[in-house]
Amino acid sequence: MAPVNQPRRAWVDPADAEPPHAELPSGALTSRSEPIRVERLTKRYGDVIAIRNLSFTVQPGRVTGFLGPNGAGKTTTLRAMVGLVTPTTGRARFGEHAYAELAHPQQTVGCVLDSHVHPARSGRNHLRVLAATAEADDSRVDELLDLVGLSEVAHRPAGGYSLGMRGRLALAAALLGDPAYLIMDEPANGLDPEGIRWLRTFIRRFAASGRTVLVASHLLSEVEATADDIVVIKAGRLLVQTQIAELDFDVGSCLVRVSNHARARAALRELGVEIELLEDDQGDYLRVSTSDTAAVGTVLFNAKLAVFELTRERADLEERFFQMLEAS
Amino acid sequence: MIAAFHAEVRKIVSTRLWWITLICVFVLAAGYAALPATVGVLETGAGSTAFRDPGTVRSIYNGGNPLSRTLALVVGIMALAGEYRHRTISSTYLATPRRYRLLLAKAASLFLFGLIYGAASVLAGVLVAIPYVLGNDGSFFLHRGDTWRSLVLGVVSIALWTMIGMGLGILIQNLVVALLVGIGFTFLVEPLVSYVLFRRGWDAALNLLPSGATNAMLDVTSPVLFASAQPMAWWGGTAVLAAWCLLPAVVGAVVTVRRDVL
Repeated sequence: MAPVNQPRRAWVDPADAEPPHAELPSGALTSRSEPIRVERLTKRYGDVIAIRNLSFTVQPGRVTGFLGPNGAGKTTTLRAMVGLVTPTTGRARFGEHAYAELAHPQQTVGCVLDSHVHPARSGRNHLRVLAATAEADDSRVDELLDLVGLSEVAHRPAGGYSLGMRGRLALAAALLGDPAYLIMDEPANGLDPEGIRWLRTFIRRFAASGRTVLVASHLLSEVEATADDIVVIKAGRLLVQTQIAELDFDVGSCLVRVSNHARARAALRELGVEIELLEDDQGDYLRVSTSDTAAVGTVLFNAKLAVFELTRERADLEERFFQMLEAS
Repeated sequence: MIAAFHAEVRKIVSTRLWWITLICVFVLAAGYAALPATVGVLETGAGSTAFRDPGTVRSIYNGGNPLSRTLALVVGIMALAGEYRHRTISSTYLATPRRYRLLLAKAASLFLFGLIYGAASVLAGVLVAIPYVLGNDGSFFLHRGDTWRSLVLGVVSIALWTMIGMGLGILIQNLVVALLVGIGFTFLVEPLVSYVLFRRGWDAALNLLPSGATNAMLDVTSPVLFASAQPMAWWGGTAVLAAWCLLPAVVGAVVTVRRDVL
């Protein structure tokens, strides 16, 4: 079956569509302030250890990025957290309770772990099946279809949906019970750039309302733009858990583009810094081994040079990420 | 539990399989019920006395049973093995993380639809019987308790076959393999085994086969069914068929249900 056409009106602006969460079940409010605690989680398959003694905490009101190279154990960890995989030892608690102990799992934890649908079932009916246990009525189903921009195709068999449409359906399914926690495994898979931008805003707003979000992703740039905290694992082990704000992005250099690089070089020598002449697609530039842009700017001004560009160079998260992996 | 049952019912009615199966059951059961009725006419010619024998009339009412129960078996197999096939089992277990509770909800919903298929099958048999009985000066035997018991257990037996299918789907999570095993057993293995046992007259073994147990429930004896000469009582047949439902389901529940879902 060929993918059905994308609806013309995709992705409602989250700013307009925020009130699906306006009515919070009163019971959920207390758990809203509780973090997710992963405690000494280990998963062993025969001789292979997929997760080793993994502990981390996911704080409410924040977005936590869950990073690691392919095969690090991200998916196994997420699935073990919600009982799809039985951990060899250890557990995960949402507030006080393990997933299987929750009285209303869908109203507590929303999971976007995959986007599988029965191909003969319509998107709307897929949601209605899950709505029965989430205790959501049909108007909530329609509201969510509208939120993720699937209203126009909701009556067609899901077998014809594109990967991106199935991803959006999976998000709608996770939100049926208006959960306090959201855990997602590569949610940007198959989404178009507009969809990714929408998802980013949505996740930020979800966390801003005091709820807890854990997003596993290999798209480091995506996590950098969305997450407050990161948890990095490799080979099933925790490498680091930190706030993105605490990561030191200063690499101790700045980029200088001026009218005359030879004169700039001579002038900057008084700062006692190392200077390299480099080239990129915009032409030559100097890399100066200090992040003190004020000192560099003052020297260049005194030398009466026209400054076209003066930027502190920053490591991006991707670079940090690989440094962490190499250091381990 | 009630919510999980509700979700399972929505699952069944939201694809076309259930009503396509229902139509197939009705049409094929009518065709199969016409067989013993026609045989009854041919055996004794015009003015047949076959329709004055309550056993023959019961076998017309339940003529569609062998085919209907195979379709019911298929529907049962699809219930869980289909979820593994389409990988919807993750969201199902996330919605109802206590897996045994989910299986109970699934079994209850399937039993309900099994009863609906059973009713369609028996209704088709009864409708087919009407012209034959009226045209041959026979009786519907509706004044006899054993006729009503056969009609009711005819419906129940189909529902139990749905349960056998569900058990198979629990035990064998691969849909294609489960279907091959289920259909292969009912269409090939069981008739062959029945034939051998029938020829040797090993009635006790025949009675313990699912088809033998079903025949005992329906209280029908027909040479084309390789039926036991000494069938069990209806309650014995019901118990044996129920055991056939539980056997794969319990083994599956112990061995496979707790497996990781990736």
